[in-house]
This record gives sequence, structure tokens and C-alpha cells, in this order.
Amino acid sequence: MKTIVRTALAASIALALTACHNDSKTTTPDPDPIPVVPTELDISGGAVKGVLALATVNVYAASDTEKTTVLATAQTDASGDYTVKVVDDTGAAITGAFIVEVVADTDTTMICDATLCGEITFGNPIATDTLLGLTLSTVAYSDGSAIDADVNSLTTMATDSILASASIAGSPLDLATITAEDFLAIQEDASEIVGAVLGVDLSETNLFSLNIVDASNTSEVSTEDETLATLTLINASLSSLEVADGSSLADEINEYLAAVEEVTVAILADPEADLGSGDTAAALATINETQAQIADEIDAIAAEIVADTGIAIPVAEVPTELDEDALGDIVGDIIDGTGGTGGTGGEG
Amino acid sequence: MSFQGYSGLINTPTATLFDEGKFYFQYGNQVETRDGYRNGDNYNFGVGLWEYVEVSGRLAEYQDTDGGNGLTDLSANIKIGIPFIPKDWFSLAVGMQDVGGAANFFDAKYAVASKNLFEDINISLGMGQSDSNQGRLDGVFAGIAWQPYQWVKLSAEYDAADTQLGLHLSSPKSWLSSGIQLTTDILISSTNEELKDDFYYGLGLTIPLDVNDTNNSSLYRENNISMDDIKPTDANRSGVVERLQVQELLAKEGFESIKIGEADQNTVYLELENHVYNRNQIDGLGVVLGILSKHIQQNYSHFKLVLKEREVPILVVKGNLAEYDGFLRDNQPLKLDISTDTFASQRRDTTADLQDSNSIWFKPRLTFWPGLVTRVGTEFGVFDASVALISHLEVPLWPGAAVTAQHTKQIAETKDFEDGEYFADDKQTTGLKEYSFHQTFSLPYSVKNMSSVGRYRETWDYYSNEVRWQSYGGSHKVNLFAARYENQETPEREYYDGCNILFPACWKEPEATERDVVIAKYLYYNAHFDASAEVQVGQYWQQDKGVVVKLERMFGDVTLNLTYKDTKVDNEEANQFVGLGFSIPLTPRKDYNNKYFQVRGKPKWRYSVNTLVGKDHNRLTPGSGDTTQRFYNLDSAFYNNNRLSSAYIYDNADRLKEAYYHAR
Repeated sequence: MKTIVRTALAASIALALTACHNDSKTTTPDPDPIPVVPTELDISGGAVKGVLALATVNVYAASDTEKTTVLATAQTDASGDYTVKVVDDTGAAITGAFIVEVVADTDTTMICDATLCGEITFGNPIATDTLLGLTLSTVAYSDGSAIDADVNSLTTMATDSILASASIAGSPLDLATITAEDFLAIQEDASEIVGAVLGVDLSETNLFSLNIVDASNTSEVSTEDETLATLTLINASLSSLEVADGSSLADEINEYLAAVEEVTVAILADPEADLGSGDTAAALATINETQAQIADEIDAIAAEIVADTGIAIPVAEVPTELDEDALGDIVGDIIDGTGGTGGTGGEG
Repeated sequence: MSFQGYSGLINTPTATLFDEGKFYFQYGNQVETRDGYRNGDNYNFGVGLWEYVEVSGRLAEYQDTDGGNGLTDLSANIKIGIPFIPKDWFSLAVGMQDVGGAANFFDAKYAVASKNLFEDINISLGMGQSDSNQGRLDGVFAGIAWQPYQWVKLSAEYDAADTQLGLHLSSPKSWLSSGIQLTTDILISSTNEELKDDFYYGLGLTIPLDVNDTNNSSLYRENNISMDDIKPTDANRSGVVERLQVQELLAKEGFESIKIGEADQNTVYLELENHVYNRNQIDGLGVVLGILSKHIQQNYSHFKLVLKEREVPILVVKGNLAEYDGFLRDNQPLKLDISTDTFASQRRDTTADLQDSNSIWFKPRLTFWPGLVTRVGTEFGVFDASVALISHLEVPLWPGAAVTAQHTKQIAETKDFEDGEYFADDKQTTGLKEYSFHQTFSLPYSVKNMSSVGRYRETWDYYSNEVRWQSYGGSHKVNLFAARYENQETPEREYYDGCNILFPACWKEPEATERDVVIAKYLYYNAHFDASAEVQVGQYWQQDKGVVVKLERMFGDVTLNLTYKDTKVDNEEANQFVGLGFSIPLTPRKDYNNKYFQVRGKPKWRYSVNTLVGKDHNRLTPGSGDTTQRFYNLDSAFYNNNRLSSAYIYDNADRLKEAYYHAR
């Protein structure tokens, strides 16, 4: 049928063109082509592990899960803030989902937002060499308008979950064509997964929209929102990870984030996977080891902030180990319909 | 009808069944829950399928104690009378309550005997086994009813746990047309504490299903003498004059594509199409045969009638004109030779001057009917629906060929079908859903073939072929249907609500872009029971494979059906469904028809509810056993919705008379 329709259409167009040709012996020159105005999209935000100053910011299409084509690049300022401009020379509207990646390079500095970052104390800058290679990311969606996209370790975990899901062979998740509505849904679903990893209930939270601040800026830490305050301290606590010989803080944080991604990939593929055995055993061990440090450190940071501001911080208790069952339960309900009886009338 | 849905007194059954061919409906406020009786909305409906079989159902909504919407429950009951027991001895019946389904809390099995005393008293004694927490029907139960007048009855019962006293009122049959009766049932008193606390009642309707009931056809002759019955006075009319007169009468009646001539010296030959009596072709047949027998009385002794559809012969009727007149006038037995083996039945050399009155070609026929998608007894409510107006256009092109198109206009929906709500994906939407070209032709041995090509369900191109065979008498029928559907749009992957969509497991399987549907159907029609049984096997729309069994009981143009489906998609678990449905005609017996177009309703509008069985849940699992049958198909367009056969016509012989005298 499609072929018939196409053939008929092609024939009618051909006839129409022939008719035009016969009817007119002269041709009208094309008017001057309208100059193409490139379109631009501004993406701005802040990079906060502690404040990441002078780090490289790269933007990719979200469908480019291997991050092979940089669409635009910029650098964070001394406050960790950035603005990057994506340009399309064809003049087409720039819409869809994007990855924003912040990479610590040779001149990047970071404020220590944990009680002790190696030998650096709370609120002081960390040396560049221990940060080199630290990579944080986020995803954001634009309908053509400028967007905000803050980057921190939590958005990184959630972004990794989204990209991992999209990278699974045969995945139905298509980040190239995803709608704004579905994009919001996957941000929330990724938040829920990160919450399950950390042991914090994020079932009603989109952590991409949270204002995670540098905890060393003590007055900025929320004193009212327990979830926001807890996540801010968790983000900060990663700066206190123990650094093994021959390693760096960047390596430790990257290793933890990679472990979270590995476990997430396994659980996405099989919600009932036994994470403690096989390929994921080492990743789970890394997560649990880090989780124990996080659980201790957030209390320590909270105490540091209270000592500084005199105001109590509402902090949720964070478990010292990942709850595998809770992580698997995040899948939710695979139910097609509801109790009752279907009826149809007037068919056939 | 009792408050429990089955025929009986208040909460107990008797051995008296619902009248055959009558539909009973009752709204009551007594509902039974696991925790006891309480005030709620209770919808009971039942029907006497045959003299000894009744089925009934109940849809109950348990209101929360705070007055909010509560759970709903849909259940079915069956009761079977024991035949061969002399009526003056006693009646005996066995029954089951809350048959099938996943969550059956009121299962009951019982046997009950009833006997009439002194004409107006009926006593019942029974034994039951029940899961009812109230103990109802769990042991020996008994009842007595006193009916001093046709419209009032007092009853008392012991239901194996409690004793009730009730009052039953019904309107006399003569009050309302078509035999409809109104009923009221009132619980006067009960020993049950919960039933003491409130006023419990039921309001009901009893409706005869066969509104064209022809049981009194012997009266037609006496009461309906028409001009047609008066013999022509001009004694020596020629054959041509007689044929011309018949042709004019038939054309005036609205029949189309009329050709009349001689089959031989003694036999008048007539072929025509009936598009005016669309509810049931038997009405058209009755009118044509009546006109023939009344107006061809001098030059021919026999007739041969060929009924056609789109110039394809569908029925050949041969007989003696005087004998048929005797059938009409004097209740003589019907003697016709009726066959659907119509291959080469048309004459090619009929008298030329009497041909082709009322041409059918390029005349658009519009059919309208309501489209209904419903959800019954869900946790969202008793009843949700999406309502649409469906329009179907058919234009005949040449013998056996037609183009059709079908449009849906969304009209209304309940809240749960609105966008963003739970059933939103299943609501009907406005748009052109189908367009097709069909070519049908006859083959020897009562075989017909229809080939179709076009668009189906908005985005699917298709081609299909259907072959249908029917036995000589029409009791046996076989259809073979094969179709290939190709989706012209790549459908979006859908995911389960409430599921984390980063998990691939949360996404439904991608919809296949190509589907093959191959179905074989066998139908057996039993004229004695006025019922048919159909078995379908094959691969259906959802690519599920399995069997569908359907029993259908006819009451004139109304049918009730029971369906069982057992189908399975590869690598998924099988689903079994039972369904209860009905069909009614949504068009007058004689449709509107003029020279240029026709507007009509659907002759057989179906509605059914289906529920999953054999599982520990009853989630909605729509789509199983979908045959992709279109409105325009061999059964509906060429076989009078499976009612075109010698067996059916003989079983409904009185309707031939009734149609001639009443339907015009």
C-alpha cells in the first residue's frame, strides 16, 4: 500500500512538474536566499563538590552517552559558576536533553567542604594535583530556552544511572527523542535510585532541581529542609574520603562514583540481582566502605556548621551499608491494569 | 428476583426459575459483605436462558462507613431446573452463587425443591453449602410465599441462619407495552441484627427479550387482513402484467436491483436485494414471499427467489405459490426449498423489460452506532465508560465489490477515562479509523470468499481473505480468515504506570509492526434450542494463540452470549477469560432508504464484559482473542449475521408471516 501511495504521489508530482515545464518557457530566478541566523542556547549553573573553580565545562547531547562530540565548552569561574553557549549554525531550534560535564584540569581548585580533606581543613582550598581528573556531571532538558544545570556528586550519580539505562542493549530509553515529560520522569526515577543507594528517601524528590551548596559556606546550608541538608552534607562528605597511597582525592571520588554506576547497571538489568557476588562484589564493597565514611562524616560536618552558625541542621540518619533489597524494590510495580472487568460494545 | 440476584424470595432461592426469554433487573440497597449485611448499591440482573436454565449477575458497591466510594464486586450465579419431573409433583433446581472469578467470598451451592399448594401458596425446602460469613444457605433453608393476586406476594424464609419476611409487588402485565413489568421488593423484618437497622428494598424491571415475539402468529390472519389478501379481480391478467405488478410493489417497498422473469413456464423467477429490512433479512424475505404469493396467482404455480447482496446471490428459495399462500392464510406448514448454495443460481436471460429496478450501484449506505469502552466493577468505581459515535460508509461499486470507511467521533467519557487518568489510554478518540476495498464472490458448494485491502485501526495497512462455507441446512458453518497487518507508524514504547522507567523491565514489549491474524471458526446452530455454539482457534491480533468458545442464545433479534477465551502469547503466561454479553438491534425493522442514499443503525450491536479467571488476581488484561473482525464481513454483510439458512428460517417461520403483515 505504501509503495502504491508513493508511486501515485511521485507520478502526480512528475506530471505536475511536466505540466509546469510545458506551460512556462521562462524561468524566474530565485530571490536572494535569506541569511541563516545561528541559534544559541545558554546553559548555566554551578559546579559544587566543594566549589570547583577553573574547571572545564563540556556540553554533549544526552544521546551521546559515550561523550564523543563536545557541543560547547567553557570554564567555571572562581565561584564555581559557569555559562556555556551552544550554537547551531543551521538556525534550527536547540532543544532536547544535554549532558553537562565538569572536569578538574591542571588549574582547577576546590574548597574543602568536609571536616578534613587529607590535610586540608574545612573551608580551605585543595591543591590542584589531587583534583586532576575529577569528573562530575548532570543532565538537563531545554525546549529552546536557556536552562540552569547545577553539577555535583549527586547529579553525577543520577546522570550515570540515566546514561547507563540508555546504554543497555535494546534499551527503550531514547535520549535523542525523549519528551520533556519523560525527561522529568527519568530525572525523578534516577533520583530515587540514588536515594536507594545512599539510604535516603528520594521517592518524592528530583535532586536535579535541588540547590546543593558548598557546605563550607555554612550559612547557605539549609536549616529547614532535612532532605536538602542531608544531601548537601553527603555531597560534601566525599571530600573526606581516605586517599590510598598512589591515589588522589579525585581518584577516590571517581572510583566511588564508578562503583555506584556499576551496581546501578546491575540492578537495572536485574532488580533481584545478588550484588554481593560476582562482578559487582568489589563495587558493592567500595560503596559500603564509602557509605560508612559518609555516615560518620555528615555528622561531623553538621557539627562543624552548627559550631560556626549556632543553628542546628536537620540531618537524616544515613545507613552505613547499601540496602540491596531496597535498591531492587525501586523498580516499582509492573502491573498492567487494575482489578475489575473490561467491557466493550459496538465493535465489529 | 431475590436480593441475591437469583430467582427466589428474599435471600433464598426457590425451584421456580426466571421465565425463559425474560430479562430481570433490580436495583436494591441490601449488600452482603464479609462483615455482614449493610446498606449499599446493589445491581442484580438475570435472564431465563431456557426453560430450565437461568443465569444472573450482581454488581455491588460497598459504601464505606464514612459514605465514600468503597469496593465493588461483580459476581455471577447459575441455576438449573431438573426436567422430567411432573409439574404437579414438585419442582427441583440446583444452583451455584458467585461462580468463577478471583475473589469469591460468597460461593454457595444449593439444591432446592418447591411445590405449589392451594394455587396461591408455594413452599420451598433446600439444602446448601456456602462460604457466606452470615451462614446464609449454609445448611437447610426453607421458604413460603403466598400470592393472593397476580401483583402482590408475601414471603417468609429461613435462610439457614436468619428468618426474613418480605413483600413483593409487581405491575400487571397489561399496564405497560411489550410485556414490561415493574417490581418492588421490600424486606419487612429479619432476625439478623444488621438487617433490622435499616430499610431494605429493591426496585426492578422485567423485560421480554423478544419484542417481535411471534408466538401468537395464528392471530395475524384474523386481525390483519390487508389489501394484499384481496384477490385481484381482473381474471385474465397475463404473466407479464402479474410480474410487472409484483415488480412495482417490490420497488415501492424499497427493494433494490429487482429482476423478474420466468424460470420456466410454471415458475416465476425473481431476484432482488433487501436493504430496507436490515435488522433481520428474514423480515425482507417474508415481505417478498408474501407479495409474490398474493400477486402471482394466475400464470405460475411456482416461484424461484434469489436474494442478493451487492449482486452476489446469497439465498435461493423455491416453492409453490399456493402452498405458501396457504401457509400465510390457513396456517399450513411452511414448505420451501431454501439453499445458500447459490453458485450460478442467477438467471442471465430474464425478461429484459423488467430488469434492474432501484439500482444499488454507487449508492452510499451510512450506518451509525454507539461505540462503548467500559470498565465495570473496578476499584475506581462501579462503571466507567468512553462513549463515541461510530459512522460506517459503504459504497457498492460492481458485483461483489464495495468500498467502506469507518469514522469514530469521541463524545463523552467518565472521569477515569479522561486524559491523565487511569483508563486514558483506552478511551476512544476521534478520527478515521478504517477504509477498505472488498471483493466478494461465490464459489460452488455454498462457499463464499471475501478479499479485502485497506487501512485498519488508523495506522495499519492490511490485506485479508475470508472463506466461508455453510452446510445445506445451515446448521454448520466454517470460516477461515487470514490477514496481514503492517503498521505505518512506529509506535512509542509504553511503560507501566508506577514503575521506574530506567529499568528496562518497566517497559512493555515493543508493539510488533507486522501482525498476522489467522483464525478458523466453526459454528453449530441448533434450531430447537434457538442457540449456536462457536469455536475459534488461531492467532489473534495481540499475536496470542488459542481457543475462543462462544455460546449464543437467540431471543428474536436479541441474543445473549457466554464466551470463554484461553489464549497465550509466546513466552508469556496464558490468560483465560469468561465473558457475558448481549446483542440488540439498534435499527428499526424497516430502515430509512431513498433513491440516493441510505441511513441506518446497526442490526446487531454487541456488548460484553469479560473477566480474568484462573488467577489469584483479576487485573484488566484487555485484548485477548481479538479476531479483528470488521463491521463489513461475510457473516454480517452476506449471511444476515449468521441467520441465513434453511434451519433458521424454518425455526422462525412465523416471523415470515409476521413480517409480511406487520413489519411493512
